Amino acid sequence: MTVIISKEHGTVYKTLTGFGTPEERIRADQLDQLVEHTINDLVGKLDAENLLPKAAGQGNVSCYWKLGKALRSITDHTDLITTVELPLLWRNVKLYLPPTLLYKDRGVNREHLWYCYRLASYSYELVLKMKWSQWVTLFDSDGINQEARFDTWFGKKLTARTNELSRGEIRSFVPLVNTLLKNIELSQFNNNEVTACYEACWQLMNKMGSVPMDKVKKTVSSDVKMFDSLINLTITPEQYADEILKK
Amino acid sequence: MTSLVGVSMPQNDKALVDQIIRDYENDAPGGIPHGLQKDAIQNGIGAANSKSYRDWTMCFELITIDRQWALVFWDEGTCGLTGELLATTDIENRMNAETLGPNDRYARFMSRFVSGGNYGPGMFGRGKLVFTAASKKRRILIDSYRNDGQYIATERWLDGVTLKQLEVPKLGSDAHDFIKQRTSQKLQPLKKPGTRITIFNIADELVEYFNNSFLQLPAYKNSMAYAIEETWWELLLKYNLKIALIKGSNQMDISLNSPLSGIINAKDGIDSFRAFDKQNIPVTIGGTQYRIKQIKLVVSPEELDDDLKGVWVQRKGMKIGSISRNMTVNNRISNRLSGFMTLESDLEQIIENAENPTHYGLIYRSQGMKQLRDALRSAIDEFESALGLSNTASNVRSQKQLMEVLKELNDAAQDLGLATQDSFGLNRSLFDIIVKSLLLPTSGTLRVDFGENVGPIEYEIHNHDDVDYEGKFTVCIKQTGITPVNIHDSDVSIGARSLVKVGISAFSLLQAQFVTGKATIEAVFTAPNRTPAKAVRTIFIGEDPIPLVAAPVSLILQCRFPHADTRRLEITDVLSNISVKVTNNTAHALKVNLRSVVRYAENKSVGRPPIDLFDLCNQNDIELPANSELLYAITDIIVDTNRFAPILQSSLHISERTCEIYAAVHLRETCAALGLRRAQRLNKATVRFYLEVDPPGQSIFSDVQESNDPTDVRQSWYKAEGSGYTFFLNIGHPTYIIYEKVANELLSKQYKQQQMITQAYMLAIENDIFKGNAAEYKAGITDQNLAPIDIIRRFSEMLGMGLFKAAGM
Repeated sequence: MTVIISKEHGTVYKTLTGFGTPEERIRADQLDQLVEHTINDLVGKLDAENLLPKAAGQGNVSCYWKLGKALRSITDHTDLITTVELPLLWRNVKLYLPPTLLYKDRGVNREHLWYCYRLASYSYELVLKMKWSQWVTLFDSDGINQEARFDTWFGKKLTARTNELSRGEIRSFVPLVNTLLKNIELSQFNNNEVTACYEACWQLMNKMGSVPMDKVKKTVSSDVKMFDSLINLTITPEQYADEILKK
Repeated sequence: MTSLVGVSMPQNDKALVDQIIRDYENDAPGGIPHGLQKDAIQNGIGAANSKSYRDWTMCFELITIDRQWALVFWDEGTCGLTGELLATTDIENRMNAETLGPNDRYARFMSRFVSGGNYGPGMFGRGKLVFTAASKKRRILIDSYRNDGQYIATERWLDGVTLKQLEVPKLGSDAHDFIKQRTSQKLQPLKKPGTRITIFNIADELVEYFNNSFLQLPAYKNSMAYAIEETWWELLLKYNLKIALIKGSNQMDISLNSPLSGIINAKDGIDSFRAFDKQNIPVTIGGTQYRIKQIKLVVSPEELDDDLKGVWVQRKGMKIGSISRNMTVNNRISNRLSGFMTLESDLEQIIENAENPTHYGLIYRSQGMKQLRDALRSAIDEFESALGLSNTASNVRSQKQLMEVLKELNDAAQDLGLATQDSFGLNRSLFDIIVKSLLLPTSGTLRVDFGENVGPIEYEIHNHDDVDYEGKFTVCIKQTGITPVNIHDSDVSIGARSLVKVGISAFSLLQAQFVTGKATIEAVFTAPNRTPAKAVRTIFIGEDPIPLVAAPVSLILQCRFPHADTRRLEITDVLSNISVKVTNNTAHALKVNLRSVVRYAENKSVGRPPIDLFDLCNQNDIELPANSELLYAITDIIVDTNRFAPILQSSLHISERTCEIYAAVHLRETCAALGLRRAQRLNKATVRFYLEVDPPGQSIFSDVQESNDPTDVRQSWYKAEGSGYTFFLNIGHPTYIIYEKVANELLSKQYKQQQMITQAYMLAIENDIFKGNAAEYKAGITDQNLAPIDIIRRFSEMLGMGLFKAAGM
């Protein structure tokens, strides 16, 4: 697939591997029109709802969820772009987004538009249970950033919650995930094993109380036997958390 | 001796013109159209009658001739194409005799690559051909009204692959008629002295570029008017130069506009600009003192476009190129910082040699460039400090400086004979030694006490070549400060593409031969005129091992490149002798998974992640006994249009043409004794290669880091990490601390440079790579029969050479 990434000095087409065939460029033009229309429509709606940020990075979770939803409407209802080409789509989208909806460049894996897109995979009710900055903290985590299975698991956790998550909870949960999954190649785990890891960190977050975070992290990092039992599913995540906190 | 009679070497002018187009497309921000205005005005300025450019004007006009677009430009207030009106054959004779002087403007214009003097059209070899390159028909017309009253006209065109021109110019009324006839009466003879060039049937992009001049931003940014403004702003301001663009009834006089005018005229604190101005800065080059006339730095309120970002150098009133490339600037202002540097005329002459032939961009390793960049570095530091951005933690500043030193060394690597990352592994051995098993007295530890036995050891020597070899296989134990102890020495015959097993019986570690501490068991196979193969294992004599210094598992990915000294591959080339060596560095058995693929390398600028192209090796549940190694040979990779199709169809740009062999090893089962978890990545390795493009200027080190260890006597060191080497600077070393106390940026930078060069040479020696100026030191450093003191002396000389060159001497 081919995408338009610049119009400053003439139209610049790009695929992940080159410039695209003439036919693909025609499709890229169609995609570009769709993007322009979608973004203009979105900006109008955000403006009407008074959700447009006053400056870059100052939007709230509602605003960014709606942006993500608009981006998803482009990918979900056309065959003009595939998931692997999303980084190119972001460049096309940025041609039309007002500066206040943009965010500073934080690298390929921490792309603001990718985060919005990912956020929109959750229902609107669920995303409101956390502030935007908490979502960013979560998506920034090395053990979560590239793992789509996290969203499935986390959606269920959020559904089960009646109240909002606090900043403190996310600030505890993310370092535990980072410690438990440090240098782990998650693609080598099946769904149950991945879920067990996230669930164990969730349990630890809920149960650790006043135990210092550094102590918990140290035990998580060093006790590889318990980790083995956890991913072999011979103990439950709850038992894992209890055992770690006992040490 | 009989003297030979020769004829001129045939030349393909068409290819030459095409090459010039490519050069400008690579160097100039706007390609040929940008280059055309630069060369045209440069020539016009060179021929000006007055140094103050009084009465000097230059016009560019877009007209149609025979229903095709043509670009006409002419100067006035100039002397015209002066000098003797020689026939082309006579010009050749004068060229051979090197007697064309500055005043022979006509002769120089009618010859190629003759600069002769420094004035007037024709002084720059390339400009003349840029004009030809701008014509789709490769045809230009030249007429000149000389200040001696002569009127001349001539024409140049490409015929097949040869550039042709009139043997002698048309003169006087013939010239008048010629001009009118060749332009279908669209042009009349010049009325004032000057020179006019007419480019027939100009390229479409040039028409658009010209037309954009009459539009508003953002189209104006991609126009000839903006290009002139950007290139000649200094003279436009200083002398109120008159340069005009004409199309039909529209005429535009070039003046300085926003955003450029905002930057050039910026005053600190006015209109939200911050500005820094420093003048008459002394620099010493080759023992002579020169002066930088001015460094002006400006931070704009808005983020700048790429063409205005950074600091550029001016020469003869013309913008040349960036001098701030690779220079780290506080990220709060890096996207808004702009500026320029002007030089006194003697310094301009030195810097002219650093310009590339298109006058766009500078070659940083050229004489004087280091001094100019040091001066700019100091200015940026001062400016940042004035802006309150110098609160950066000193270690961050120091790290920043380390990166700068590395970048400078990378640029100078070739000169210094330093090996870059891409050099490593190019001279891969045809052999491999594998430690199949190494028995130590106590399982689970690398400790061996005096009197205990080491071994037996089983080795395999692999020959990857298609011929038989006779070689020598030796095994010895090495410890710091102790003469190596030989434990095996044998002659080995090894058949083509086969392996030989060598078993070594257990031997006792005698206290008389060794000391307490770390030791390495080194096995080497040497065959005449071939790169030796080596396998090294570590043990600890009489003491417990230091907790895992190296990774628990090492991964060495190797292959043989088809062309010497480059990782560039062409279609049908073959990457051969590919192997992955997995080494268990621990005293525990490990179970691992190994995966190796060829992939299309990541391109961060378009957000492309690495894309797998095809699998090379997928081995699961590998049993890796303690202290053992496994070698996996991989089928050769042929660069074909099938598997590499997406890459071969992409543009010939380095970021689009980079592939890599990637290998990673993950733990299959948790190893509690080592604290390693299942699925944990133990190591990875990559070997990059480039399809149909030359590799980029590679880095000597893949990373630079600081280590604060006051107990470590080493000032610096390097370590293999991933697919490269990391340089470490010990900032806890007392010598470094003394340098830091002096608080002099340049001294501190010099210290880092010295340390980095030292480690870079050591790295090169370890990899047996002696390139360029370092090559002559190889024999004196690698000869095993030399006394240690002689080797150290030679190393010291090589280091001195490197420092000498790095100082720009």
